[in-house]
Parts: sequence; C-alpha cells; structure tokens
Amino acid sequence: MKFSKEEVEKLANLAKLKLSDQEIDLYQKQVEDILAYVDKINKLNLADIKESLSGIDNNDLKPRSDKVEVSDPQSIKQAGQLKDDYMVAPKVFDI
Amino acid sequence: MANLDLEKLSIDKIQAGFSAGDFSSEELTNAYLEKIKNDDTNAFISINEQAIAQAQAADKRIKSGQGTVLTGVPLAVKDIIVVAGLRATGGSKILENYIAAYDATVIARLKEAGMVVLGKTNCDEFAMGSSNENSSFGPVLNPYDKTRVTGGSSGGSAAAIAANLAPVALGTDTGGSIRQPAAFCGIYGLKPSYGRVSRCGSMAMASSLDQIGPMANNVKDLAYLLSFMAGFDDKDASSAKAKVGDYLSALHSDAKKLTIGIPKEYFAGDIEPDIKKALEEQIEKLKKEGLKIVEVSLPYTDYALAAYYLLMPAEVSSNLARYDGLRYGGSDLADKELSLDNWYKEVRSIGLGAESKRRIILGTYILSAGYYDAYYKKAQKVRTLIKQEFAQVFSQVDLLLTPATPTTAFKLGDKAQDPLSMYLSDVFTVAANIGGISGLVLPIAKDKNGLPIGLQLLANAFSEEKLFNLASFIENLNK
Repeated sequence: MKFSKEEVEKLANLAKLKLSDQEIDLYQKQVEDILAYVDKINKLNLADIKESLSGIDNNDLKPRSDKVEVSDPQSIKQAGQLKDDYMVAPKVFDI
Repeated sequence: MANLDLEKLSIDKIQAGFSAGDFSSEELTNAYLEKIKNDDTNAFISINEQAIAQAQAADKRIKSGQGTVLTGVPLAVKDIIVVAGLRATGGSKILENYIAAYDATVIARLKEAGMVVLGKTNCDEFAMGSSNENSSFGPVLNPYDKTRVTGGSSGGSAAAIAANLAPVALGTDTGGSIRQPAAFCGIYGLKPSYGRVSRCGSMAMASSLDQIGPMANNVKDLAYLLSFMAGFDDKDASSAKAKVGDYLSALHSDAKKLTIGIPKEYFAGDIEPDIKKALEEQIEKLKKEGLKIVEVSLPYTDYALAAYYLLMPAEVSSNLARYDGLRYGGSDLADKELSLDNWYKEVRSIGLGAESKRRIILGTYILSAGYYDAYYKKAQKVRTLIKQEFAQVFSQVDLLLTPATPTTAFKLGDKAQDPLSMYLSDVFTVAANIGGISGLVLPIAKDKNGLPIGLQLLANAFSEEKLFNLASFIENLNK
C-alpha cells in the first residue's frame, strides 16, 4: 500500500492538524507500515458477511426523546472566553 | 497510625480494620496520600483535595451503621474518567487545565457506596498506548523495575496498586488497556462485557470498544467493585439491560464443573518462553485438580488485531474532533487573532501528542471516500466473524485460558519509535473488545528477571460470574 506525503498533508488538513515536515515524513512511513499490516483482512472472503457495529447484538439502541433543557452553566465554564453566556470563537470569515 | 501496613491491602482487610478500630478511613486515606507524595513511579497526575473530607464522611457513615462494604475504601481513578470538581486531563496537554463538571456514572455509584477518591492516575493520552509513554505528563515507571514500562493505557492505575498507593483502582480497556498493564504490574484487572458498565463520563476513544473496569490486589475486590459499577444507565445508550450477576457468590461456585478451552492460536506465535512455561504449568495444575481442559481453535485470531487497528483509529479520529481548544480549555495554546480554521489547527497541533495525531491521520484515511469500503466496512465484517467464532467456542466451553501478553514488561523506550511493534503487544487482548466479551487477567508467576507474568481468562458476554469463579479458584490454588 503506497501512501504519499501529499496524502498525509491532505488528511491532516481535513482533520485540522498542522504538521511539520518532519511529522509528515514520519507519519507517511508509519501509516504505510500499519496499512501494510492491516491489509491482511483483504485475504478473507467477506462478501456474504454482515457488518457489526459493536460486539453486542441485543443492545436496543434507541434515541432518547427530545426535551428542552437549560444547559448547565458549568458545562461551558471551561471555554476560554465567554460573553453573555456564549463562547467566543475566533472569526470564521475575513471581512 | 504511623505504621499502617498498606501492603496488598484488600477490601475485606480494610473493613476488618475499620470494625476492629485499628484504623479509620481518614487514617487510611492519609496514609495513602502520604505514600503518593513520595511516589517515584509517576502513577498520579493529580490528588483529590477533598479526599480527607470524603473519608471523614465515610467514617461517620460507618459509625452510624449505614455503610456498604465499599464505604471508606480509597479508590484511584484513571484520568480518562471524570470526577466532578477534579482536573480531568485524559493524559493530554490539550486538557491540562480542564476541570470536570460532573461525575461519571461509575464514580457517582461508587461515591454513593461511600468510596473515597484519592486522585487521578496517569495514562496514555486519551487511553491510546500500550506503555504509558504517550502521556503528556511523562511515563509511569513499573514498580517492579523502574527502567521498564507499566504497560498501558491504564498504567498509572496498575502502578498505583502494585506500589501500594491505592488498594483498588478504575481503568478503561479498549484493546487491552486494563489487562495488559495488570499483567505487566502483577495485579488483577477486569474488562467487563461491552455494555456491562456505563461509559458515561469516560472520555471516548473508540466508542464501540471502550469499557470501564476495576483493578485490584485480588479477585474478590474486582467482584466487589463490579457489583456496584455494573448495570443499565440511561445516560449511556450502549449500556445493557442484562441482569447484574451475583459476582460474590460466583467466587465460591464449583470450578470443577467448568470446561476450559485452550485456543491453540494463542500459543502458536511469538511468546516469551518463560510465559509459555508458566501457562503450561498452570494448565497442568488445573488438570491435576480435575478441571476439564480441551484444546479449541479460533482461526480468526490473527485478523482481530488488524480489524482493531482499522476500527479503533476510525472511531478515534471522530471522537478526538471534539478537542478544538474552544469547549474544553486549551484556548491559551493559540493566538485568538488567527482565523477559526488556523486556530483549530494550531491548538490541536500543540495540544495533541504524536500517537493521537498518528491515529487521527490513519482514522481519517480509513473513513475517507474510496477507502471506507476497502477498510472500515471490511473490519466491521471481521468483527462479525470474531463474534460468531466466540459464540461457537462458548457453546463448547465455559471459559478460554490464554496468556495475557506475549512478553513481560519491556524497557522504557524500546518500542516508542515503532508503533507497529507497540501495537503487537495487544495481540492477545483486542479480540475480547471486538467480540464484546469479558476478560480477566491475574498474576500467576514471575519470569527470570522477576517480572510478573499474567494469565488471561475470557468468558462470553455477560458471563463475568464464570471469570470470577475460575480466577478465584486459580488464585487459591496458587497460594
């Protein structure tokens, strides 16, 4: 499995990571090694096998019903900067 | 109370000490806190300033006759699990100053039972590692040999118990993170079945695999803790409604009625000779006791680790997206004048460690268009095969007996530069997470260097009673 530097850069950009040239070189090599290892699953004939989302089959995962709740002020207290109980984020657009 | 002996304390001994008036919870808690202050293994990231107050409250409760078996018993908590008002770093610089706003469900339950939280233990960043070297707060040193790793990712909890800094602890296990450090540090660790214990309040690494579990000095203490931790929680949709077993009675069930399977694939690969020998001797001892032991085969074992290193990073890349420097702290890591996009990149690049970045890159790749079908979907199918294989084998045997790890504790730095060889140290533990089944590791011997050797027992999902039954039998047999 070939895994290019450009691919690492593209993925880092998608995942919102800034990588140094050294990190790009390192991850390119390491991820390539890992992909070569995990590629062994392609030896299996999986055509008729169903996918499993977890180890347990009988979990009746149901969404909870929606309800309006006032959020606990504690939960956003850790945000770096608050203004009128809203979090302040860096600007999204350059105007 | 200066000479309070903390060596391998059990919950029964602690309660006997309380009843006899030999020591109070406050005195015991103080003794542990003193020992933690002088700890040279780096097992703890932070201490609970409220521990003494909690212990005093526990003493009152014991006096009033309203206590449980856990009241007044000190507990160390892996820093992945949130405790209200305490720093919760997840072993990461990005959460260095984050203070948890609520108690994880397990913490709420154990606090209600009267436990005293000593502090938060060191771990690999967001529970990602097999050596504890990925912690932003430095590696934990193995109490048996401080030039060696504790294993990971619950290395701090394992070291805390091995170094007598806590009698019991909580860890989390996504691919072996309770069982592998338990083996390396010569203690007992349980990974419950997926859904047995609520994950609410455990920082998510790979949500379909993560479980919280207890770590201790003996089998009975694991049973005590699980009795209080287990059970459905409406805050975790993946927690199971299955009935919580009578784990304490299970300790005394007739182990000779159990059939034990030895999966040949677990003994075929590279295992250190001392480990192989210790396991073989243990199996002989059990046979002599009249236990029924048969060889079984799990042909997909070899694919479990490969599937794990596809499923896990995929889930990691999604779960770690929440650490953006805005909601959970880390905002001081970058200049607010940057645009939002550059801000995220800056904060995450400084705040996240190398292993996190590696898994995010890998996971983003696995989930990206064109590769999703080739990797992620196939890994989900391999999960089905592994589940089917376990279902089939557990229709023939009650338990599986395997080595916990292919090696004993390795040297610090030995595998740090080679992620793939590090990943291979999880080779015997990951299948249990993928299959959703339960597993328990207990120490059975030492190698030629005096390092602990762990034995792993695996049982079907929601069959923890069988683990306790056989583990307790082996523990007594080896005494």
